[in-house]
Amino acid sequence: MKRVTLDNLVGFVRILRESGFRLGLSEDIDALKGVIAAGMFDELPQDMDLFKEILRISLVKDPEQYGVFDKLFESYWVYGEEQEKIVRRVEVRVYSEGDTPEPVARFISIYSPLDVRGRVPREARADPRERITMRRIFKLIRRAIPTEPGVRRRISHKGELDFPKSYRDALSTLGDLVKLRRSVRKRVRTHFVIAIDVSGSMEDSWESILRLIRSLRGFSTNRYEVFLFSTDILRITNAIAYSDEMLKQLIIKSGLWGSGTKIGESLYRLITDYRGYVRDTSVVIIISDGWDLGDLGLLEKSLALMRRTVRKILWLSPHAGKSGFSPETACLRIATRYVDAILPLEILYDMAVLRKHIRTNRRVFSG
Amino acid sequence: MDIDLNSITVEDVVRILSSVGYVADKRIATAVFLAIRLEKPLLVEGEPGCGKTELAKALAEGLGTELIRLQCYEGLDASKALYEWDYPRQLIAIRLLERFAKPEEIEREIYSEKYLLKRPLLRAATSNSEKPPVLLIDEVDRADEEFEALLLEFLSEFQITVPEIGTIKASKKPIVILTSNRTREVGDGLRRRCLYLYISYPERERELEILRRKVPGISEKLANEVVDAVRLIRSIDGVVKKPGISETIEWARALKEMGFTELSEEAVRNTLSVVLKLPEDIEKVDIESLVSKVKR
Repeated sequence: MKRVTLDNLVGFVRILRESGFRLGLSEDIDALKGVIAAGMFDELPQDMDLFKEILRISLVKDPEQYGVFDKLFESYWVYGEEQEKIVRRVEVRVYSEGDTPEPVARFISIYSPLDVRGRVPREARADPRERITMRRIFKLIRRAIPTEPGVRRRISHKGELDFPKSYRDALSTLGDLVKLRRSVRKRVRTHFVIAIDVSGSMEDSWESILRLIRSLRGFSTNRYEVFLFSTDILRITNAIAYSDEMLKQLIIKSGLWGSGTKIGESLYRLITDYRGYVRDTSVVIIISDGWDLGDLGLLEKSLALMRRTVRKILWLSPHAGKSGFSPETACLRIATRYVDAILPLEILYDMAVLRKHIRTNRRVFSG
Repeated sequence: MDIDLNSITVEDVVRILSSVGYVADKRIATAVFLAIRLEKPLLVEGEPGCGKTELAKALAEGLGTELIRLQCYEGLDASKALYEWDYPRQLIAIRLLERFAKPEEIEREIYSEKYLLKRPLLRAATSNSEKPPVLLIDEVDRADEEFEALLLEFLSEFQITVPEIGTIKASKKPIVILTSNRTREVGDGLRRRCLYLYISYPERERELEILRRKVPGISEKLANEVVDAVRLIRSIDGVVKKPGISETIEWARALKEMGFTELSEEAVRNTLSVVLKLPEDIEKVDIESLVSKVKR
């Protein structure tokens, strides 16, 4: 067990930062003030639960990070480890039906959450021009998808008479109604929810995925939500601003990278556990090749629920657009019944391809 | 309760909240303790009906201080949150003064504090009470991003600038509690200025304790069965509006008022709409199996 000193606190905050927590100096200071207020500074923490709560309340601003925090807290403060040890190899010993009664080590092709932690996403080249292109592409998609009038209003000379606004303005002229104001309803801004499949079968598309993530840096996080999924789903919206290396570490540590795929389970969690992030103004973009090892019934249920909740669902597949492509996998056959369109992933970085699909998919892009 | 806020402890917070019927676990009490001692706003998020708003109310009541509440909604702006000039009274004053006073005197008069309508944030900043008030900024996720930006200034400096008068700084920093149901993500800036607490559904024992406090006279058997039933309902796949603690309390009250001393199929059938508010959620509950599981 470690003493609660300034060095140890700073060391712990550094580990949290490396693990994807967005912490500034003010959080450091809050944690320090908190332990001082509780009379724990420069001592071995007698009440470990209280100490943990103080650090958690000061340093964690997202309940989805509670699990990671608890693990890091235990390994740092209780066991005194500087870094989490990652098991990279799992030895599987099985009984064979052959001659020997002893178990033998075998390679068997099963999904192992421990094994996939050893796999690392490839490096991907960064090009500043592609970021500009992709931002333009997002603008074009946003414009192409029709918006709906919201509750709030904006002044417009072509709009209808706005009596409340006119009377409020008249107060500045001592109550005399000098000018009639007109206004129209503000259009609701399109909100993107991007769910990216990072399972083993999508490894070849990693470069495109990373380019997409890079292009989102600089957009206001209120305009999009990003999730990664394979056998489970993880919200990474707040991690988009991290460097590529930190993002890579986050993806590796989450255990999602390169594993099997349970699209139904992941989308069901997206629409239930993360329902605050999926709004009726959202356009959901699912990026996946459709190779699925999960429950197809749950996939259908999730997509039906999503269909009722959001404005549009676009499925982007790295294989769509290639000659001879048709949605043949069981997953894509179900998806075609609920999504607005299955489009090639290329539309996210090739303006010409996007324009072509906007022209050919009038049903999707014109309301 | 007479307590010096500068030397308050976690145990004091538990006692204060408990004295007004709020059963706080260690996490909640620690968060409130830090909010008071560090003089920082506390952002409380969680499922609807888990006692976020109640926490602020109980704290104000327990400390014997004023509760100032700002209910957020889409379109909430500075005039409803900070201050507004009392235009009708200013107009009357102008009409009365224009014959006798010089224009500068009229201006000075109508832009004095007398004509300022104090909205919750300004009221919290100018409170003269002995103990700092509890400022509850409720359901901040319903307000627009523009309002969040406005809050940033207030929550970091605890001051408000009125151009015609000057800057008003809070003499005693209010205890600020912001709540959010997570219908949208609260901005990073606001999050980072606050301490953070996520309240989830309580542990069984805590929920039972809350029920005993909030529904006095309830039979122990009924209380246990109601808590178990609500926990089972929460775990049903596909229930959209999961019942919070407030629904548990309402349900127990309804059952007690109807004279039930234990949960039966008839009791559940007659009162399920108290705990589940959507017809499609009610349809998902197999009453027979629910009651048999509770009785097991």
